[in-house]
Amino acid sequence: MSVMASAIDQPTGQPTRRRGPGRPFQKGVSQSAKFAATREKMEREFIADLEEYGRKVSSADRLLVARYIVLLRSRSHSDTNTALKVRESLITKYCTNQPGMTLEKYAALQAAKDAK
Amino acid sequence: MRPLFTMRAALDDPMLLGDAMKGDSWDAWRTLLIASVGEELTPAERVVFKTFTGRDAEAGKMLDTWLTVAGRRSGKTTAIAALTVYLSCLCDWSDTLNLGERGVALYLAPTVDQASRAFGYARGFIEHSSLMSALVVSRTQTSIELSNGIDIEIAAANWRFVRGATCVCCVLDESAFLRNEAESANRDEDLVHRIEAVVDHDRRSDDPDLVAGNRSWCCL
Repeated sequence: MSVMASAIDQPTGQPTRRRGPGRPFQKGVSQSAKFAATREKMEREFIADLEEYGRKVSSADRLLVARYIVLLRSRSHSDTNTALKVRESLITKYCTNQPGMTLEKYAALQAAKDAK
Repeated sequence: MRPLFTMRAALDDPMLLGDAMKGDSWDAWRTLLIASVGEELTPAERVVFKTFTGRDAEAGKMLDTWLTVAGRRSGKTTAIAALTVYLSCLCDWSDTLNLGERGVALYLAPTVDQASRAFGYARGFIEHSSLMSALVVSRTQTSIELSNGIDIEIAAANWRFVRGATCVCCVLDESAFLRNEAESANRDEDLVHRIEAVVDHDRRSDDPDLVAGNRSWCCL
């Protein structure tokens, strides 16, 4: 018996970890497709939030929103920080300093929002 | 007078007054401001309201007079500036003002310097919001003219010069330092009577709708 084998056979007092039956995810369901659907849902929600103040989000900014969602879901802290900066710039662009927005228009928008 | 926004919504909205009083430490002032314009409080806010006013519930209508007795750095000037900006920018006074008549939100203090300090807060709140700053037609060191027919002005607290304006609200800052000697030519009592006359003239009307007291004045 080798030294390594004897060390493995030693009882540690810990319960042995067993692999459970089946798979961690449902068989036949593409996780990539599920993630893509979640990303699209997040993009739609964020774009709807931006457009709530009356300005249409441009196609270039839609790509930026898609990138923002990918960065936001990343495990990297650096990516998350970048995502937050992208978010801030988009909010600044669409939710503040809107050309043609007056207090009366804004009040009407808010009233319509409250009525919903 | 028709509010364009509720005070609660304005204080929550960063596009309006949301950045004026940020943080939990302003909760008490926020509660008092919401109650001051006649909006309903939540049960939790009512407890705060009772702590500071001794009253069981809010009045449910806009206040006529607000007297604040508070120490230095308690936030009274900031809070009242938020109320002034709300009344002058976020309320529509067109139904109360005649053609050509301009409403005045008046800041008074023993000296113009003191009044201008309080006025600076209101100017800061307006300039911070792109929506409210769009209302500004012109500004000088002592006044802001708004396109909605309201002027925000400062003056030294002298009863002789208060008369004549149509005040939508009047703030009397540092009122504890006004003259109160009987022989004084500018007594605080005279000033208060004059302020009541310029902000309360609607209440002497026979129209019952105007008796509710749409205008207010504050004493700090």
